[in-house]
Amino acid sequence: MDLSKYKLSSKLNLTKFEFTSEGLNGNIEKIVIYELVEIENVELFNLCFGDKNPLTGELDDTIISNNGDRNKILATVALTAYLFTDTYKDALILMKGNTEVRTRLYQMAINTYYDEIKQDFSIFGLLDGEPNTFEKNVNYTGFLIKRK
Amino acid sequence: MKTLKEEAREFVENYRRTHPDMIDTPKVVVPAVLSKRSQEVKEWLDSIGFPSKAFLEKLNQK
Repeated sequence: MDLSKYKLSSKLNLTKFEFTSEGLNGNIEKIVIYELVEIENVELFNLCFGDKNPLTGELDDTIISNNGDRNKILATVALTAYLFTDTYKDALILMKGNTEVRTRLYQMAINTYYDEIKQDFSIFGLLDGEPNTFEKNVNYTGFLIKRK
Repeated sequence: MKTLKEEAREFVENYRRTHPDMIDTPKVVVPAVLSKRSQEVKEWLDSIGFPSKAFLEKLNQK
């Protein structure tokens, strides 16, 4: 599958990515950060995604920009997971939105690319806090992916 | 038509060409101050006892 994506720039040794969403509400700067979280026995990175605050330059994941380019954004975020794990091969990535809506967005991204990413990643869905092998038609509270 | 894997490989190769000082697998450290969201995630994971022994076994089988 070859969905169009935004041009990415990367910083901090491929742990931070930025791109510009172009849509109904103009150009909006987006940030994706893979942030290491100290958890025993696993190298867990939290996927942080949101708008770049124009004043502070910091990531803000509370803004809903509705820029009409959801699929292109999801495709771009999916690409960052490949970029990140190409270097950090042992990383376990947690994708958990700050709201149910955003978690559903992550599920849509996985569903869209499922046939491709299942070849390259082990994918788990969180149910009651326990990771289960991902199935397309189950609603999860979060996701874990690890490069094979 | 490129796969995500191929697209990523090209991007990373180009990134490494323009960042020759980058080592193969840079060490990532836990930030001194986690973002609010990652802190919430950590607290949630700690509260549910993640990772369970069963999950670690599953992960190591993959």
